[in-house]
Amino acid sequence: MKAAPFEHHEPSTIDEAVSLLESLERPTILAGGQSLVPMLRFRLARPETIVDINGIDELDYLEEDDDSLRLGALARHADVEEADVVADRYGSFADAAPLVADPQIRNRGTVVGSITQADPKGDWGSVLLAHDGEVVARGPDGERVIPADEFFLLPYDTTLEDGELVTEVRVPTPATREGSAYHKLKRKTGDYAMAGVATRLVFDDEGRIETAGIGLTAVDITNARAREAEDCLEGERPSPELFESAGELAADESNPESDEHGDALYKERMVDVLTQRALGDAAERAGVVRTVTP
Amino acid sequence: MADRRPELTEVSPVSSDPENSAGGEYHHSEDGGPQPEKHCGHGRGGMGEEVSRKEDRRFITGRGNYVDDVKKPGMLHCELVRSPHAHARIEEIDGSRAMALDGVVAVLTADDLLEYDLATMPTLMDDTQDVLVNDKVKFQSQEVAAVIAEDRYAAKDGAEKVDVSYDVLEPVVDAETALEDDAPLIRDDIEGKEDNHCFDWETGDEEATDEAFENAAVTVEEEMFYQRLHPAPIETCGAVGDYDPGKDKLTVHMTSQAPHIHRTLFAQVSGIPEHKIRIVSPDVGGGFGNKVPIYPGYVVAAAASYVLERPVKWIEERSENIQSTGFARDYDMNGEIAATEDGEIRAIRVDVLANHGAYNAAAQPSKFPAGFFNIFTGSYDVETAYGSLSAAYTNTAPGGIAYRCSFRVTEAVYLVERMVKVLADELGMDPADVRRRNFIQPDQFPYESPTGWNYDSGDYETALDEALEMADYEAYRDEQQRRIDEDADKLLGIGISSFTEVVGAGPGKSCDIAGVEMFDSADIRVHPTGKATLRVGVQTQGQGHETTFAQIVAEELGIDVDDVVVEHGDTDTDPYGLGTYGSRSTPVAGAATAIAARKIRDKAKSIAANELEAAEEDVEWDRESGEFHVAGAPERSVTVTEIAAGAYMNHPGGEEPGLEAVNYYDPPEMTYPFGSYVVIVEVDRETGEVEFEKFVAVDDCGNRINPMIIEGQIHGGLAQGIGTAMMEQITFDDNGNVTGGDFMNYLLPTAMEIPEFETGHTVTPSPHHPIGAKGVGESPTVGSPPAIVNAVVDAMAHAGVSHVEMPMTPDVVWKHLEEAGLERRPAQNLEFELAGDAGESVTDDD
Amino acid sequence: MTDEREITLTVNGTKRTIEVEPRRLLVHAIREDLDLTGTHIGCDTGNCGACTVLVDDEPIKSCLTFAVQADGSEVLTVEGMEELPESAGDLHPLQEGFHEEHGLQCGYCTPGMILAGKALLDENPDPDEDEIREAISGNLCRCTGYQNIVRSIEYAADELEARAAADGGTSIPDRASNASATDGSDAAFDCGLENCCGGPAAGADGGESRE
Repeated sequence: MKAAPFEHHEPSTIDEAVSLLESLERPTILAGGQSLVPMLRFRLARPETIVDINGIDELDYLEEDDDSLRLGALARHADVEEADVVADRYGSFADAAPLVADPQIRNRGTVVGSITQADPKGDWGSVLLAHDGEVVARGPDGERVIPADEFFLLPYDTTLEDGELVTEVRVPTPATREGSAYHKLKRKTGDYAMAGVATRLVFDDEGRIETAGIGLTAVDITNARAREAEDCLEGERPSPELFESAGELAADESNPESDEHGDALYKERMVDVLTQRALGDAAERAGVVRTVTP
Repeated sequence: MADRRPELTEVSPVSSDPENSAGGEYHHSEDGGPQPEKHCGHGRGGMGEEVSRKEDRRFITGRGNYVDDVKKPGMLHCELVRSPHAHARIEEIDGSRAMALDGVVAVLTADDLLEYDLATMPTLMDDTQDVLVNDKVKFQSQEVAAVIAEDRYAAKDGAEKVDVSYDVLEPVVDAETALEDDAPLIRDDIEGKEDNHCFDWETGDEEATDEAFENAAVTVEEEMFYQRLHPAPIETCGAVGDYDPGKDKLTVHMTSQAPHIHRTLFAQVSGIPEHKIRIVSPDVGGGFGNKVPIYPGYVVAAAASYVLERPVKWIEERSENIQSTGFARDYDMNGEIAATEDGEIRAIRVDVLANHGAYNAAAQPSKFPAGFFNIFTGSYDVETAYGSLSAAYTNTAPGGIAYRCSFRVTEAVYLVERMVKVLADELGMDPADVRRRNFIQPDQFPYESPTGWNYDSGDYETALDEALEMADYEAYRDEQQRRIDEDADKLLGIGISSFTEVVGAGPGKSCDIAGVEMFDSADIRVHPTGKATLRVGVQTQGQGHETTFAQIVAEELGIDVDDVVVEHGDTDTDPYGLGTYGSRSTPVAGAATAIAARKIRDKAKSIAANELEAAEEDVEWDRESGEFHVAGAPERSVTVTEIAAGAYMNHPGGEEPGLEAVNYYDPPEMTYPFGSYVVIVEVDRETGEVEFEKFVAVDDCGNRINPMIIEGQIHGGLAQGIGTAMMEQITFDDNGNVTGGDFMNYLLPTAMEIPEFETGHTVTPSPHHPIGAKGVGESPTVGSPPAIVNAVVDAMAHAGVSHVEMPMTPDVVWKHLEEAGLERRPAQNLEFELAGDAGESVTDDD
Repeated sequence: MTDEREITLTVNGTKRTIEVEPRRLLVHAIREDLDLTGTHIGCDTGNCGACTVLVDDEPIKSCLTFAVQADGSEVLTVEGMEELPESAGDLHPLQEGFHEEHGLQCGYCTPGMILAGKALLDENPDPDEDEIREAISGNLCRCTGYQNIVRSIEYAADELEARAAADGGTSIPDRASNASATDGSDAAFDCGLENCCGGPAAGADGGESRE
C-alpha cells in the first residue's frame, strides 16, 4: 500500500500551522499518523497537502495546573501511560492508555489526534466525556474552547470548523473525593473495542455521589454519554443495587450495531457489565472501600 | 555447536515392515522390532541432540534474503489491478490514463497474455484459473490487469488509473446458497456447466454404517462449521521474474514451498522448456500452505519480465494476500456417532458441504478431492464409517488449501474429537474414558481403518495418560465441580483431544501433484576435506531444515553437524523434490537423506577396508564413535573424514573416485504422528471471555531429530490452533465483499493471547521409516482446535451446551452462556463503605 | 509525483542523506534507499510490527511513518545491533538470546522482535514475563507461539546484567551514560542514540520533554 502524492508542510509554530491551514488547498493535519497513514496508504484519504504538526514544540506537553490536566496535541498515548501525575490522580486515563493499540503505536499516536478523528470505537472520547473535558481549537479567528459534550457529531465528524487546529484537550483536576476508571473489552491486543466504558465519580463529604460521568465507546455513532445512568447515580450512596441500575440504564441508552466486533445485544449487555465494573473501580479510587462479602 | 545433550527415550516395541525399511541397524532388532535409541548423544550434533540452529545467524543480524530483498539492476515493479466486485463481466479495460503517467512502463491485460498463451493457468486440482480475468470476474480482488512501472509508487499510481468498466452480476458467497436451483451460475467458462456444483465424494461403507446406526443403543449428532481461515504467514507472496535474453533463460525468485513442481508448472504454462527455467525460493517468511499453489502474480511477474526483458518484481500486499490467495477449511460438517451405552463407538457418519471458491484450487494430491478427510475415524477402532461430501463453487477466492496440515486432516480431526466429546456428554461419561474405551491398541498396528488407511504405529493411551497427569486432570475436575456447586463467577472447562494425523505423502503411486509422484530427494557430496554438502528437494520456511537435515547426515556419517551445509530452494542445483507441506519433509526427504548418507557409508566402507588393510567383511561401522574399525580391533579405525581424503587423493583401484550419493525416496506408506492435548480454560460468565489456565501438549512424532526444534514447532502450531479456535475467520457480506481481509480484521493472536505451553512427548517410531521419524510440524494446528473448543463447551456442558462454533470470540461464548442461563451481571455480594469519617456501610444482602 | 526532498538520517550511527518523495514510507526508505533489508513489511495496517525500528530510541512502526518525518532522527535497525557497545563486537545479547532459546523460525518477524525487545530492556532491564509479552504485543509472529521469544528476551536481560556486573556492577544504561559523561575514550564511536555508544541516557531528553 502506497499513498498518493501530497505536499508536506512542517510548521514550527501554532500560528504558522493555522495560517497554512487557511491558505492551503484541502489540507490534512498529520500528528501521530497511526490511523491517518494507513488511510493514506489505502488511498481512502487523498489530501493534496499535509500539515505535519510534529515539529511544533509548543504542542508537546502533558501537564497539570491548578484547574486541569492538559494534553497538548503532541502528547502521545505512551506519555499518558508513563506520566506520574496520571498514574496518581487520573485513573481512567491510566486505565485507557495501555489499552490503546500496541506499544509502538502508543509511542507515536496522540490523544488529541485520536479524539479529533472521532472514531466511535476510540477510547479517549469516552474518557473526555466522563470527565466533562474540553477541546481547545485554534483557527483563523483565534482560540475556541469546545466542551466535550458538544464536540462529537457523527463517526469521524466533529464540530471543528475548516482551518481549525486542536491544540489541546483538558479535563478538570480531580476533587478531593474523586475517582475514575476505564474498562474495555476487545477481541485481542491491538484491536478496537467491542465496547468500552469510562466512569468518573465525585463524592461529597457525606459519601453521596455528587457528580457522575459515564462515557461509552463503540456502542453509538459517536463516543456517547450515558446521561440517565449518570442522573440515577447523583445524590445517592454507592451500592451494588445502585450500580446495577446505572449499568442497566447505560445499556438502555447505548445504541450499538452488530458488526465484526460483536452483535448488538452482546455489546448492549457489556455496557451494563463494564459500567458496573468501572463504577466499582472509580468508587474505590475515590476512597470507597469495596470488599467482597462472603 | 552441539551444546545440549539429548534425553534418552524409551521406544515401545511395534511391528514393522522390514521390506520398506532402508536402515537395518537403526531401529530393528533381529526379530524386526525397533530397539531403544542408542545412537544419540555422541556430541557430534546427530540424532536427538538439541543443536542450536545453523540458519539463525543471518536472520538475527538482518541478513536474511527474502524475495522482497532481491534487487536487480533495471528492475521494474508490478502492481495488480483487482476487481472491487465479486461477480462481474468485464466490458472494457482502458490503460491509457495509466500509461500517460511518469514511470509507468506497461499495462497488461488478459488480451496481452493471450498472445503468449499465458492467459490461464492450471490449479493443482486441474481446474483452469485466469491469470488476468479474460471475461468474467468470479471473486472480489481477482486479478484484472497489471501495471508495470519504474518503482512501487508509480505502479500503484498507475493501477489506480486503469479504467475498468464492469457489468456487475449477482454474487453468491456461501456454499448452501450456491447449490440452490436459482443460484447465479459462476462457472459459465466450463462447457455445459449449468450449476455451481464442484464435485461429490464419498468414502466408507454406507450400508453397513446405516445399519450400525439403526441398531445402535445411542446416537449423537452435531453440526459444526470449520470456518474459512488463511495461513497468513507474516511474509506475503511475491516474485521477481528475471528473463535473461542473452541466455534465453527465465529465473523466477518466488515465495515457494515447492520450487521444483512450480518450475514444471511454469514450463507447462509458458511453453518455455523446463531446463530454461530456474526457480529460486530464497528465505521464505513462513508458508503454512499459503505458498504451495501458483498465483497469478507470479505468472504476471515472469511474463512481464519475458516481454519487457527487464526484471519485474511483484510483492503482494497483506490485504491481497488474505483476499485472493489460498484460503483453508470452509467445511460445513455434520457428524454422527453410533455407540453402545457404555461408550463403545460402533460407527461414525459424516456429511460435508465444502466451499471451494471460484476455482477448485485445493493444493493436494490429485486423486484426493477431499484430501485425507477420510481419516475422520481418528485414533479409534471403529468397525464401520461413511463419509459424503458435496463441494460448491462460490464467488469467493479459490482454495481449500492445506493450512499447516495434511490436506483436510485438520477438519477430520476436529470432527471426530468434537464428536467424542459430544458422545461423552450424552452418556455422562468422562471424555478421557470414552477415548480409552475406543483407542486402537498398540498391538493392533499396523491398523487398517474402515476408510482404508494403514496406520503405521501408535500408543494412544500412554500419550493421553501422560497429558492428563501433566495437566493434573483429576484435581481440575474437582475444581470444576466446586465452581459449579458454588455458582462461581468463572467457570472452568477441561478439553481433551487425542488426535492422529496422517502425513508424509506419497507414496507416489497414490499421491501426486500435477501428475508428478510425491517422492523426495537428497544429494550428498562429501568433499576431500571431509566436509559435506547436502542438497534437498524440500524447502524450509522456518522449520529448521538446515539444522535437522545436517543432523541426519552427521548421525549417519559420524561427522560433526557443523561440517555439513544444507542447500535447498534452487532448481538449478538441487535435486527434484515435491516441496515442504503436509509434514512431509522429515518423513520423505529426511528418509532420502539418511539413505543417501548410507550409500556413502557403503562406499566409504570399501575405502575403509583399503585404508585399514582388512577385508571389507571384517570392517564394522561404529555409530557411537562415528568410525569404521576392524572387527575385534577397535583401535584400528578410520573416520569418514579420513576416508574422504582417500576417495579423492588415493582412491582404490576399481572404485570411482569421489564420495557422493543421491537418493530419490518414494515412501512405502505415510506416517501417523499422534498426541493428546489437554486444555483448561476459565470462562467469564459476565463477558464470555475465555482465559487459558493450562495448556498441555503431549506429542509423539516417532524418533526425534532435534527436540528443541520439535518443541518450537509445537509451540507455533498451538498458537495457530488458538488463533483458529478463538479469533481467526474470513467472512463475506452478501455482496461478496471480504469483511475480514486485513490484519485489522483477520485477527492473529499476539503474545498477550497465547499462554505458556507445557509440552511432553512419547516416542513410538515409525517402523517403515529409515530413521523412525514421523513428522511433527502440523500436529499442534491439527490437534489443538478441538481441545480448545471441547474445553469451552465443557465449561458450560452441565447446563446443556453441546457445541460452540469457532472462532469463539467473547460475544459467541456469551450467547451460549445466556442461552444456558449461565450469564450473570457483576457487583453482587459487594459491600461499599466510604473510607475515613464520612458515610456508612451499605451492604447487599442478596 | 511530487518533488523529492533531501533528508538526513543517522542510521546505525552513520549519517545518511537521501532524496525522497514526501509520501515515501520510512520503511521503504530504509529498505530500498539505504539497502537495509533486515527491516521487513508484513501488513498494510500497522498491525504486524515486522517493520519495527527505533527512532530516537523509541520503537515505532516504520510503515506508519513517512521518511520525511524522520528527518534529523537517529534510526536503529537490526543491522546496527552488532555495533552497540554491549555487543562487544559480536552478537548483541538479544540476538544471542534468540539463537540460544530458539526464538525464531522463519526469521521474518525477528528483527522487529529484537528491536521491541531492545526498547523494553533499555527502559526495564529486568522485566517479568508479563512485561515482555506486553512489550512485544505489537509484533506478530506466526511461527514460534511467542514462548521462546519471551525466553530469548529473558536470556538477554540476564546476559546484559551479567556483562554489566562483570564490568563493575553497574547496569548497561548506567554504564553507557556514565561513560559518555566521564570517559572520553568511548567518544571514539558515538552514534548519538540514547543509551548507545555513549549517547544521552533515557529520560534525559525526549521522554521528559513530553510531560
